[in-house]
Amino acid sequence: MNTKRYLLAGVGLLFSVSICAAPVWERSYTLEAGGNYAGAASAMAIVLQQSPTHEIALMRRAWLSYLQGHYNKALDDYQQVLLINPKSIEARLGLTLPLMAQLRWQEAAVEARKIIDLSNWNYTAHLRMMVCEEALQQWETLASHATELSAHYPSDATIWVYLARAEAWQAHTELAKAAYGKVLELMPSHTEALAYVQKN
Amino acid sequence: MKAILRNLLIILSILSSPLQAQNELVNIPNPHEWTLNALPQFTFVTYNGSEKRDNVMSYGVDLAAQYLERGGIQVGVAKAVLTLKTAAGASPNTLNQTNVFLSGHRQFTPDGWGGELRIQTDLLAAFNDDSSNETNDVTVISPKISFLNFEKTTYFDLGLASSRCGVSKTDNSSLSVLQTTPTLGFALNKGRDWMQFRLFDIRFSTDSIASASTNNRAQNLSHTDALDFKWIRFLVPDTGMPSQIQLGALVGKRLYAVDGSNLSNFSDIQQGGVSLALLWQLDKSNQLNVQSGLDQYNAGKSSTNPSKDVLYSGAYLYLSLQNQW
Repeated sequence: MNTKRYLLAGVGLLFSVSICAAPVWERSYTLEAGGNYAGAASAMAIVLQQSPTHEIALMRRAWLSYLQGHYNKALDDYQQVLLINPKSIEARLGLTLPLMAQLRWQEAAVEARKIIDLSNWNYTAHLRMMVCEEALQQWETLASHATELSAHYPSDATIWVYLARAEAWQAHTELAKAAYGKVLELMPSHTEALAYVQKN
Repeated sequence: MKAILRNLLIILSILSSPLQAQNELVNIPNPHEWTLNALPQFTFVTYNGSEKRDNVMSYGVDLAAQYLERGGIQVGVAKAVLTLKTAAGASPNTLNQTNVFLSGHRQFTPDGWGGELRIQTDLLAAFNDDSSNETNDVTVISPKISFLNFEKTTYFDLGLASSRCGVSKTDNSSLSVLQTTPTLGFALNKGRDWMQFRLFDIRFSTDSIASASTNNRAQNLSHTDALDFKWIRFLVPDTGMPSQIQLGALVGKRLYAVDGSNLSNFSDIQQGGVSLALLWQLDKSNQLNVQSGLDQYNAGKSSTNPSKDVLYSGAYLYLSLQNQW
């Protein structure tokens, strides 16, 4: 009899928490949609006050901190998520954003590479790693990386653009033209590709 | 039997395909957490018009390790041989010096600053066989705080250097030097040019064991001021062409200056100088730096004509090869 009562109380408590929590999340999403990132983060603070290791709330606060330009705060929250859930690809992808915003390209590339080790052909991780390689002017690396990735995403114009830029910086004009040619097949009015092909 | 073999082949191909997918990644290099640099360097200076100095030859190596964009350390050691002028027929007289350099820095990117803050501390020392001991046992601690905005268009730093020189064996005097170097740098022409101004404010002081002759070790000066100017043009790398051209000039007076990993421990006042440096990016991990310049010095009163100062010049050639891996 007692067990049944406790079970009912437990279910009731869970139900009341989810009923109470829902408006907080809704308010947070509404405020974010209206551009009020600080307000949206404050709503998450309420959740985190009750449950400091709430993974989704931490992820969300990290994202909202990033949107506000509070990059170090965002990094702290993403790191905390990784302590709670070391398998989280989302948190590691999250880390790359404030790192790139702080121009910490080497560090962002290392984090992107960790994701690639977990999930070999994760598109976002590869793309962010290529952004870092471009910023670090690692043209040879970028060219081989973009070539590899284009085999997996052959109709993605962005990857061909990175390949073309890497070849152009190495003065491999014909290879750059070939890559920009692919871009134009996918996006015929691509300004950068048109300009390069016309000039060369 | 054929069916079994076919199924076996299918199973093998399924098993091998994830391995192939893994191997395909080998072609994408791993980004390094540590970046290491080795910088062997060589300098030769020849003096014109000096009563004492003939030339200096120096060689050494700097090793640097940088961890991501967080911080790094650097160590350097250099040997220098100063050949002094001697009377005709006399055996060559030299002064042998060892310079040691140790540096550590930590980088920060505080929110709202829009750039990178760096805190650095350098330790320098010079040891030689100077019989007067005045240029021997030189130790320097030099902290610096610097800021570079994310756009890499504005830079400033504030550096301090506190030096102690050896106690003189001739008059028991000692010498302490405090240097302040505020620096401002900025980019022009969409980052194609870089201009930098560094002020050297250098003050000399006595301490408890020093006598009034301390100022004699600084040519009776209590302080010197100089302005160092650098202009760098970044070029698009082309075959045989340098990737950077750097022009430098120094105006004013500078004595016992600490400039990066270089320290000056001789009592001759540097009063002006010009330099030209070219940097070649040999490949993705090697850089060649060739620099040449002419500096003007004042060695104080002449031993043969005490009413006149000895003014002389030093022309130098500096070579370094930076290797990164």
